[in-house]
Amino acid sequence: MRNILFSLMIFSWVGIGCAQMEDMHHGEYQHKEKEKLLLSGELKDEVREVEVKAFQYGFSPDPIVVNKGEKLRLKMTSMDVTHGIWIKEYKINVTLPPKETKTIEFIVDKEGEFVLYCSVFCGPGHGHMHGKLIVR
Amino acid sequence: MQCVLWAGAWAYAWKVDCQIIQNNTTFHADSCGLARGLSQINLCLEDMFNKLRNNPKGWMVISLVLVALFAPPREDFIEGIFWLSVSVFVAVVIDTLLSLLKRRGLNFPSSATITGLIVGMVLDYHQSLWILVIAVAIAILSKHLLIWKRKHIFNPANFGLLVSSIFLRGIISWWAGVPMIPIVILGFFIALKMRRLSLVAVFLGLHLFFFGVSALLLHHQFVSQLAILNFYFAFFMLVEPKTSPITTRGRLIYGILTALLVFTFLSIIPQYDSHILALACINLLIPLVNKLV
Repeated sequence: MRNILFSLMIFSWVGIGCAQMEDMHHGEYQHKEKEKLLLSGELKDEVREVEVKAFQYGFSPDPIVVNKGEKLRLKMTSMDVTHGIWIKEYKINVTLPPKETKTIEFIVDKEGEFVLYCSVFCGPGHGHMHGKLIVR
Repeated sequence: MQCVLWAGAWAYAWKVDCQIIQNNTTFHADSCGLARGLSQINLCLEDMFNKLRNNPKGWMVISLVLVALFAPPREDFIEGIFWLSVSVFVAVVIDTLLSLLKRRGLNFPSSATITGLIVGMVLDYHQSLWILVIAVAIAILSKHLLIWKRKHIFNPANFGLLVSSIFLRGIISWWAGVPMIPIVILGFFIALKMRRLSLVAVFLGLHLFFFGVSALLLHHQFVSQLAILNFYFAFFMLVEPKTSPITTRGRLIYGILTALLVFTFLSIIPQYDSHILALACINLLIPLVNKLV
C-alpha cells in the first residue's frame, strides 16, 4: 500500500517534469532564427553588443557570431529559471538569476568555435543546453 | 547473442570431446557433446540470472547501460559511448588493482562499473579525457580509503565529481539525465528493488515544494521552477545503499535534508553543482542519522 502511494507521488512529480519537457519543444523560444552566420548584435562605440537570452534549454541567438579582435559585450538575461553561461576557453562563468540582466565584456582574441555551456542545473534538459560562439 | 551461444556450445563440446579422447573412451561426441554444451551454457545463464535477480547492483548496471544507450544525442553517440567506456575501464582497472593490493578475492567489479558509469554520465563528454580519468580515480580511491566502520563515507561517484568540479574545473552537465522516460522507468524499478522508493518520493516532493514556494514568493515562472528536477540524481545516486541510512525513518530524514540542501545551495551558490554538493554534505551526516534514528 505504502509503495503504491509513493509510486503515485513519484509519477505525479514526473508528470510535472514531462510537461515542462513538452514546453521545451513547443515553447516560444524554440523556433530559433535560422541565421546564416551573419554577425550577431551591433557595434556601439567599437564594442559589439549582443543581447543573449538563456532559457530552458538553449541560448538565443545561437550561434553568436563575431569577428576576431573585437571587444564583445554580452548582455545576458535568463528568461525562466537560474541559468549560467560558461565559455571555458575564455574563462567566463557567470550565473544568471531569473529576469536579471548581467553584462560581461571581453576581447575575442581566439579564433574558432567555442561551446557555451549552461553551468547551473536547470532541469532534465540541462545536459543538452549548449550554445555556440563563432569567432572568425 | 545467438552466435556467442553457439560458439560457446561448440567450444564446450570440443573440450568434452578432448577429455573423452584423453580418457581413451571410444565415444565421439559430435551431437551429444553439443547438447551437453548447450545445457551447460543454459545452466550458466540460469545461474547468472539468479545471481543478478538477487543482486540490485546487477540491475543497477543493466539499467545504467540502458540509459547510456538513450543518453547521447545522435550526432555525438560514438563520442558519448567512448567517454563512458573509458570511464568504466579506468574504474574497473583501479578497483581491481586495489582489491588485489588488499588481498581480496577477484569478483565482478559491479560497484566500480556503477561508479564509472555514473561519473561518465554526469561529467560532460566535450572536455579533456584527463578530467574524467582523474575524477574516476578519485571516486574509486575514496571508496577504498575514506572508510568509517567498514563503509565508505561518501558516495564514490559523487565524491569524484565533487573534487573534479571544484579542483579541476570539470564541467558537470548531467548529460545522461536527458532521456527522462527510460530514467524514470528504470530508476523506479531500481528504487523499488533497493527499497528506497520512499526516499526518492520524499526528495522529489520536497524539491517541488521548495522551488514552488520560492517561485510564488519571488514571482518566477512557476512551472519552469518546478521542472528543476534531477531524476537521474534521485533515482541513481541518492539510492546508493551504503551511503544512505539503514532505517525507513532515517531515509525520510535523508531525503528531506538533501532536498533542503539542494534548494539552499542552488539559491546561494549556484556556481557549484547543488546536487553534488548537497549529497556530499549529507553523506557526512549519515553515521549520525544512523545513530540517532
